[in-house]
Amino acid sequence: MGNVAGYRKAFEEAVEYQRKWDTYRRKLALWEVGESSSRRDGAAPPKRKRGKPAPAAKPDEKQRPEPPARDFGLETLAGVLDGDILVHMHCYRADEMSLMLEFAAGYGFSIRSFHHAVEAYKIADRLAANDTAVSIWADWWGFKVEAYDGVRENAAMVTQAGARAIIHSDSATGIQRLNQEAGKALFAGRKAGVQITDEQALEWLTINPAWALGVDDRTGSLEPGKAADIVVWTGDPFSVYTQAQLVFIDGELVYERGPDSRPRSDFDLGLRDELRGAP
Amino acid sequence: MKFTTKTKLLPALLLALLAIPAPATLAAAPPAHADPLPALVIDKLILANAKIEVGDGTVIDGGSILIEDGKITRVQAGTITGIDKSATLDLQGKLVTPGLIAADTTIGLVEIGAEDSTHDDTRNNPGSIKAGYDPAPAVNADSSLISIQAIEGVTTAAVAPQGGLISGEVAWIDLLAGDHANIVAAAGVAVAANFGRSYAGSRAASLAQLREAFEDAKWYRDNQRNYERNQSRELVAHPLDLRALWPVLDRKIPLVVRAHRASDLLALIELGESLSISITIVGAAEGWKVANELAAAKITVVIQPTDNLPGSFDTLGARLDNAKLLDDAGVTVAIAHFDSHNVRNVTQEAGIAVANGLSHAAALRAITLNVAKAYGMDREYGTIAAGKVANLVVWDGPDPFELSTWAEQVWVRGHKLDMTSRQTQLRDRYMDLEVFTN
Repeated sequence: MGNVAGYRKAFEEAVEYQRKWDTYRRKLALWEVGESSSRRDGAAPPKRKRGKPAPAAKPDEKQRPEPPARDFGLETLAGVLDGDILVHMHCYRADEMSLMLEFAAGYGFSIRSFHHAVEAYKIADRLAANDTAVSIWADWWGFKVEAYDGVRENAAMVTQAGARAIIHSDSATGIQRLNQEAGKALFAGRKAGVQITDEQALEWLTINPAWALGVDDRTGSLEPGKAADIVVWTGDPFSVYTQAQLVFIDGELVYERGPDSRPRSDFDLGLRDELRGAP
Repeated sequence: MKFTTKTKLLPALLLALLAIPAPATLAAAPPAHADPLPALVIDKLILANAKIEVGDGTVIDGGSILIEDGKITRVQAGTITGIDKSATLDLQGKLVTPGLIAADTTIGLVEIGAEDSTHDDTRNNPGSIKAGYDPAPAVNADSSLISIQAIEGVTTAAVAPQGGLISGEVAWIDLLAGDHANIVAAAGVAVAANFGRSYAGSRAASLAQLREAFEDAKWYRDNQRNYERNQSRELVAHPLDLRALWPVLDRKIPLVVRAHRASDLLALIELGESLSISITIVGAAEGWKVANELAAAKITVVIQPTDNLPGSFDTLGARLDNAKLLDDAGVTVAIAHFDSHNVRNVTQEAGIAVANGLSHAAALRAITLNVAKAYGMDREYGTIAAGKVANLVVWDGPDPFELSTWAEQVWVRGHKLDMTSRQTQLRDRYMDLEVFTN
């Protein structure tokens, strides 16, 4: 619970920081129109003669209000309070996610996505009610205590409850075939009787993460006006044998499967030359 | 699946006998109301009308398997009839494979990775030669990992200690959850070692230390009395650690070494030949570079096909088609998923190997028979054949590598698993969340 005390302290500071900047901006606006910063809010603006431009106000530079010191950490949290910055939070356990949902509600912001959320299936209804997504592994579990209750059906159960699931991987090998990670989660769900469509499983990898990042108006689905981020697969994307055939990013063909099509980084040169032709 | 019987038991009682041989309950005294007539006891099971992937590449369509006392006693095309005290399960053409075998795990030794209090995988003494560390007594049959893997088709695992240059002895376990008396099928089936990173200042010095350990193991065997009389040269390890190397020197068990770099693999081939010992190599990211040498030395190699990144300077040559290139060269290739909590994903590894050139038959062999070979356990494990342990998987689809295919029923040493795990229980508890709100 020390964590939550830390969050509370930080957000209280952010509220105070936000208040200081609001005050400063108000004083600055008044100063710019030549008003005394001591004028009370809501007072009538200076009178102007009709039809003539306002006299060029010459604010006194000496009177310019001093901005508060910038603090990038608090500025970010203030952005969260203003709703300009989406919150992604690393959180595994159901009780901890529940606690943070309540915490966020108390400060009037929402959590866009929990990362890892191994126990999301225990509070899937609550996640749906809060419109909070979860970015989860297909089957990782047990590497630490918080991950002990992982189940294969997590994504399916979250989807069934009406919340947004995202299949992710922070493994350098798992990320190479995220389609298969989604496939494992899809078929595990179906086997347990949760009716997940292929389209829903695809959303775990496309529009849902785009939404979580706040870029779903630009990518995440094949629609006119969106970025041409497209994969052509050699078969069913949820088959273990299927591979990416063509990959476009922003309309640019960045990968085409074929002999010697494996990307070669600077690091590879002279060290991995023999891998030319490797898949 | 449909049961028929050759006894006159009531169907309900019959199902009880067949469906719940959880090992722990079998060991318990029979309930008072159990039928006393021995003639009614069913102790043989026939799996009939199965598509049997034997595990050595052959397939028997419409075949039958007879299981007695935890062993496979007969496998044939067509039906098996005339067996007393037997029940027959009609598999209706479903696919049966040998139970999958997981290489180089810590199942039963590590419950939670980042929780040290749950670790029994390393002997914590100074010194890099820990050959005498036998983890078998530490294997926990109550570990949640066991049924989580078993209900997805993994019936057997090599449980290997970690750490040091020579880590200790490998235990061979059948994934019988809760059966403390029987989970370890065999202890000391191999000796596990690590080579590639330096334990003695340089990898060459580490190699020399490995050689010294075997030299001292020999010397100690020939000079035990001198040792007891304090008339011994200084030995590189405790006598119990040297003693553990004797069966390796006698070629009774293999030395199973984790190594990746091509030069290290060649060094191990040379070590094996000079000591005349049998070596299995685990990891072998650069195995393809020395595939011909590995084949000539008849070394079994255990790889993880998805290991395709240069994660260290020992694995610069890692590539997705390692399995195919090794198999093409004639190397005996086994496939593993080196995450003990998810060895169930070994079918996905096999599928990815196939997607990158390995034949389907070779990939199935790589997760059954060839893993048994890697640990010298292929006499009893790895195929569906008379005399082998009855570790069997019935699949709900035609291709066990596909992500959509699941194990429908698993038998471990003839015991029919109830196909539940801690994870299925968690899933079922939270499947209907309204239970918690109403």
